Formats: sequence, structure tokens, C-alpha cells
Amino acid sequence: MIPLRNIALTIFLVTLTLGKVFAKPSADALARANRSFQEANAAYEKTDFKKAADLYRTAIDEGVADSRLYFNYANAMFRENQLGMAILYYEKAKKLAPDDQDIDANLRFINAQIVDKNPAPENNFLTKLIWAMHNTFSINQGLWICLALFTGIFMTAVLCLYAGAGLRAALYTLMVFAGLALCGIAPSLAYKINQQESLQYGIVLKQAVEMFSGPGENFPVLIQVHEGTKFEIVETRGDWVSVKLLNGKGGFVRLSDLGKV
Amino acid sequence: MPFVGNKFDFSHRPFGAFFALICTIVCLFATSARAEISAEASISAKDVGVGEPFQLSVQVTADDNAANLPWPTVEGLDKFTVAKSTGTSRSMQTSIINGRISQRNLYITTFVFKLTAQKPGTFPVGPIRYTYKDYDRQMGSASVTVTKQEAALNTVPTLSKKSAFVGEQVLYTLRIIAGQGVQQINYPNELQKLIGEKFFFQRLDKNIEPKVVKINGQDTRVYDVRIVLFPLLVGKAELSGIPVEYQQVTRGRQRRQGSVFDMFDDDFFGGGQVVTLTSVANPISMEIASLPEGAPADFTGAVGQFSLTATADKTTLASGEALTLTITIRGDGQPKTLTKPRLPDLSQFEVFDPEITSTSTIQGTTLVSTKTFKYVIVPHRKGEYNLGPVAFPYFDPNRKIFTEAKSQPITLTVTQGKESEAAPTHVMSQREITDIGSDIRHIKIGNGALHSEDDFLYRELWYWLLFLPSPIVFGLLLVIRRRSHRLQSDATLKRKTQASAQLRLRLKEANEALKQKNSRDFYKALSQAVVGFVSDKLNIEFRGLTEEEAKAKLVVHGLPEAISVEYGKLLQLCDFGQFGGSQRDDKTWKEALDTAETLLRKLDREL
Repeated sequence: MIPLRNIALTIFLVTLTLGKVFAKPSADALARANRSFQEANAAYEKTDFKKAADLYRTAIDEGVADSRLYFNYANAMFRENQLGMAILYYEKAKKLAPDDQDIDANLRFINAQIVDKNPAPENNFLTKLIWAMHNTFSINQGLWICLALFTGIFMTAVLCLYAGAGLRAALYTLMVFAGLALCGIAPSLAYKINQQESLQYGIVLKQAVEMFSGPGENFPVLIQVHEGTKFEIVETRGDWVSVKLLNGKGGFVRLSDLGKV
Repeated sequence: MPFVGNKFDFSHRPFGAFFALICTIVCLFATSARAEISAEASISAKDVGVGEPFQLSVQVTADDNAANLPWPTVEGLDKFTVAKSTGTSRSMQTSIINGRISQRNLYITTFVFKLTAQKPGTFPVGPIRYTYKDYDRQMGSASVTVTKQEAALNTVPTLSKKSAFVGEQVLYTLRIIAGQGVQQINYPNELQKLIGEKFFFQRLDKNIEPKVVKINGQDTRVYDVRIVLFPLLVGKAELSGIPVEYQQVTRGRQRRQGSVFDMFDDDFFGGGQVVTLTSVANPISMEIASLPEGAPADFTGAVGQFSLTATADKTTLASGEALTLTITIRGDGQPKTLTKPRLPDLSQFEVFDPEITSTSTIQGTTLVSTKTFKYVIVPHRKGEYNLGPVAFPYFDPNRKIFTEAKSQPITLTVTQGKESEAAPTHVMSQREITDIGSDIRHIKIGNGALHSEDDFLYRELWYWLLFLPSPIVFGLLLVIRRRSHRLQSDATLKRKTQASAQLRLRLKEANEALKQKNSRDFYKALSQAVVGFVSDKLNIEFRGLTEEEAKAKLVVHGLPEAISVEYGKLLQLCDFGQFGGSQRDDKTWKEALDTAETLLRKLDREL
């Protein structure tokens, strides 16, 4: 039998570890970030885009990951004609708020202006519908919904223990629907978490970047890609990154030429 | 009668016809008077060509009583291809006998054998016999002479080359030589089945016009069916014979038919029989070689001779302005292999998907395909641009090498457009134009303060702990409910389970009595606690459980003898205490209580 004391110690250590890995900004840092954010918004409204961009950057450097902050910073970068940085931060914002229509619209707009056309494979109607449903909730929203459904199913089961035959049938139906909803949301959530933790994208930040067939300049150049082009990052090898374009072509680029989403 | 003895005899046609008419009329009257059934036979020709059809007819006349007439038996038909058909007509026969008028229905059934001879020679047809119930008639036999007929139409296939590479154009010509008497030619229309598996093919001519050529010094009418082939498979490819169906009029042959109307069917009236025949061209084969190694990466299978031109509709334009780059590929390869050419580096241009048109023309005996690609390209920035050659790789079967058709380079001068360099204008799809016409969406001000949205719950331990309470609550309630149900349905278990609770209650009563120094009540409660515990554990009715009975039950349940004895002693002590009237001190009572508790612990452990 495992002593309770050991369990408590384990929980404490796990919590401590998680806390260290996913460090949160302090309250002071949040306050400073909010102040910079408000000032940046004001500067942007006055079309002082450079100042706005600097202030948004200051807020980001405080360690705050907020989709509004990323979105506004991307807007300022676009106004400063830095399409790569703009796309990078729209992508970061989209990761936090996948159902935000404004982010999609601005991404579409800027992607139409970059040199490389790098379209993802076309989806059919069914796939589009599934993706739309998948992007309806953010990760945290999905996690709350899962918890509510899970608890609800067991509470309904408790009620079933004491309910009469008529009410029990209705409760069973409720449980089935809640179970189906859970079965639908849980895989989508698992995929999102997997993407969040394992899949990483990068954006070309320089005007033109050569993609080599190996991690070094001595390898043949495969293609030239331009600012704003989106990659999937396969792995990092020192100063070089193995990347894959959305259309499937792959190669190596310098780490310094990319911004990680 | 239309025959003499056992043989047909139509050598004197007018006389024979007249005689047959008289005989038929006589026979009709005769059969009407004496018989209910009669049969006659006739043959349409005795001198025919190979493949030329003719008829043997047996006409059976019967009255109302004859039904389901059988077919006549005819021997010697195994030399011919036979097709059978039958028809029935009805007629009314009126007769006057001794001034009395009588009428009756006659049914005339004609059995037709359509015969076609397959080889020349003289073949007997018959004897012909008709049997129905008690009617049995032999109608003799005939001799049919079949002569070999010269084919009026011949087909000769030729290939422009006997060996070719995969994908190389080869001309197949099927020459149809039509002789005298050919009325109509049906050109083959199932080429896909005949050659479609091994070749991509295309007919060169939609309409086949006849032409006259000299064959063996004679002017002869011929039709050339020209088909362009592009071999698909390597190895020996055989083109099976293409059948050509035609209709031929047979003339000039002496006919001796058994009909009275045959007198009109002679050459004077231009008569003749139209027969449908088929001529099958001889198979022809060719060797197909594979392409050599070393094909360029962007080679798409074009084999033949090709040329390529590239032109721009303007060479001077402003940045953001569109120009059309027209690329034309022309050659004698398979039309489908004319794919998009290799473009020069156009990274400084917006390049849109091309508009593609294709045509095919016939030049002599060659099918020439032309494909045009119109690219709309938009320069991003001002400057001088030298567009390198556009190239299309192909295999030249004459030189047996892979080569390229290339265009001349094009020099473009791009001046500064209306828009700034930093924000170039593009010509885009409809949707993109709409987007650019607006702007990016404005920044988000929002009411709430910033917060870190990447604090994902799945990284928090407390979140996962929240999943625990609901199943735990459910599990506990389920266990309690099941236990409750079990106790309700099992009285034994209930008594056994509740024995300890009952014991505690009774010992409590004993303690109360002890505190009040009530000896009788104390021993009574103690006695009830001990006996009640045993009765609950052993599921025996409490009332009427004697000491001896209880001791026997304890032994039966395998308890040591000492416990049983101890149990007896304790009960005796209790009885003595209750009914003996002894006034013991507290110590004695306490000892009795301890003894009882010790015994009960042992019992609880053993039972």
C-alpha cells in the first residue's frame, strides 16, 4: 500500500515542476504590460505605428501571451511594412484564439501580398466543416466543457440510482447525448493539445531566404522563399532548421531567418 | 405440280410457271374435295454464290381441324447456314356440289428455310417430307449449285513505319478497294475495341471521299481510312483486322425460281439481289521500342518534332501593370503530352494560372497539335528584366535523343507604377481584389486587462483533480445502495452484519445497569448480549435458545471446546446473578463484564 504521505509529496513535486515549466508573468509584469498596451493602442490610433509597435513589443517582452496584444502588434508591424513579423504574430494570436474572424481576415489580406504563394491543400466541404467545428473552442474552453460533461454524466448517473423508471429513461438519454458530445470534443481537444505541444510553425522574416537541401551553405540550394512564407518546423539542428512547406516541399533554412509561431 | 418425279424441273420457265399455276389450282380443288391437308414445296434458286442467301419454302394448307402443325423434315441442310421462319394466313373456300353451297376456312402455313452456302459445290436439298397425323407426303429433292463469287470489296492495311518509339506518331491506312456491285460501305466504328488498348489513336479524316487510282493498270475506286496511332506499350503490337461491312448487288446469274412471278426477275428489268457481306483486313504488326534512359526531370512523354514560341504583348510597362506572355508549343506528338512548359525565373512577378487552348490540324499525312498557354504576369518592382528562354523537353525519335524546344529570351522594361514600391499593387483574383480594397481589420482595444492566454488548463494539476470527485461520489453511492439492497433481501446476512451493533447496544445497557448497581438488570443485559450475539451470528432464533443448544451449535461451527465451556460458565454466572439474589460487589460485576467482553471478542473472531 502506498502511504498517503508519498502521494502528497508526489503531487507537490509535480505541481512544482509544472509551475516551473510554465512560468506565469508576475502581477507587476502584467500591470506593466497592460500599461504599455494601453499606450500602444493610443499611439496606433494616432497613426504613430512605430511607437505603437515598440510599446506592444515591450508588453510582449513582459511575458504576456494575449491574443489581442499579438493581433495589435501584428497590425503595427504590417503598418511598418514588416510582413513577415505581421504574419508571425497573427499566427501566434490565432493559436490562442482560433475562432477569431479578425485574425483570419488580416492573415488572408497579408498573405495575398507576399511574394510566395504557399497554399495549403484545398479541403472539401466536409473537411472544412470539421475544421470549423474543431476551431469553435479554444483549448481552455474545450477543457472546461469536457470537465462539465464528465461531471454531468456522473451526476446524472447518481440521479439515476434514486430516480423512478420514467425519469430514469430521460436521464439515460441525457447521459448518452452528453457522452456523445464528450466523444466529439475530446479527440479535437487532444489534437489541439498535441499541436500545441509538438507541432511548430515558422515564418520567414527576411525578404528572401535560400532553402538548402542540407543543414549548411555547402548543400545545393533547392528554392528561394520570401518574407511571410509559412513553414512547418520539423527539427532544429544547431543554427539550422529542417522545415516543410505547406505544399510538402522541404529543406533547411537558417534559424535566424525564421520566427517561431 | 411444280416438280416432275423426285426432281424439280424449271428448265422451261414460262411453261413450268404456267404448269405450276394450273396444278396449284387443280390441287386446291382436289384437296378441298378429298383431303383436309395438303403440302407444296418450292425453292427460290438453284444456282447461287458463296454467301448468297436463298429460300426453301414449304406451304401447308389445312382446314379448321389442323392445329400446331409440325415443321417439315428436309435432309441435306447441313451444308448450309439455316435460318427458319414461319407465317400463317387464312382464306375462305366456297364450293357448290349438287346445287348446294358450302363454305370452309383454310389455313395456309408457310415454313421458310433461309439458306446460305458457305463453300462452292453441288449440294442436294431433300428429300422433303411432310408428315401430320395420317398425312404423309414426299415432295422430292433439288440440287443446288454453289459457285465461288469474286469478292467485290477488298481491304489492304498499311503502316507508315514498321517500328517506332512509344508515343511516336504512326499512320495506319486502311485502303478499301470497291469493285462492281458494291452499293454501300459501312466504315468501322468500333476502333476503340480493336486498337484502343495498345494505341492512343485519332482518325485523320471525318469524311472518307473516294478516289481513283491505278491498280494493275486499271482505274480503280478506292477509299482510304487514315488513322494516326501513338503506341502506348513496348514490344510487338499487332493491329487486328478491321472488318468493313458492305452491300453488294448480285447480277447476271441464271435464276430458276419456283415462283410464277420469276419471269420478271431477269437482267432486262435490272433486277438483282442485294446481299450484305463483310471484308476483314489482314492483321498487321509493328515493333514498339521504349525510350532510352536519361529523360529530363520535367519530361512529360512528348515524342516527335516540336517547336516553341514565346511572345509578350508588351515589353515596356509600369510596375503593377499586367502583361500577357503567350507560349505556343507545336508538334506531331500525342496531344495530351503537350503540357505546361518550363518557365524562366519569374520570382519578381506575380504569375497567374495560364489560359490554355489546344487545336489539331492535318498536314499531309501528319496530325499536328498546337497548344497555347497565356500567362498573365505582373512585375512587382521597376527595373530591366531579361526573361530567359521558355523550354519544353521532348524526345526526338529521328535523332533518338532527348532535347528541348526553346523560345528566344524576352527583355522587359518596368517603370515605376502609381503605387509605391513598398506596397505594390497586384492583379489578383476577385476575392483578393475585394480584400485589398478594404484594409486590415483594426486593432482590438477591449475592456478587460491583458492576461496570459497560454495558461492552458491541461498544464494545471488542480484541473485534473476536478475530474475525481464525481466518479468517487458515484462509486460510493453505488456501493452503499448495493449493500442496502443486499441486506434487505438477505435476513441472515442482515442479522450477521448487525450482530456487532446489537451487541454494543446490549453491553451499553449492561454498563448502565452497572452504574446503577442493579444486579438483576446487569446480568440480564449481559446474558442477552452474549446469547443474542451468538444467535445473530449463527442465525438462530434468540428466543428459546438453550445453553446446551447454543454450545452444540458452537461446536458444530468448529469452535474450540474451551470457548464453548467458557460460554456455558458465563451464562450460568448470569443466571445466578439474575435469579440467585446474590449481592456482589462492583469488582465482581466488572470481572463478569470483562469476561463477557473477552468471550465475545473470541466469538466474533471465530464466527
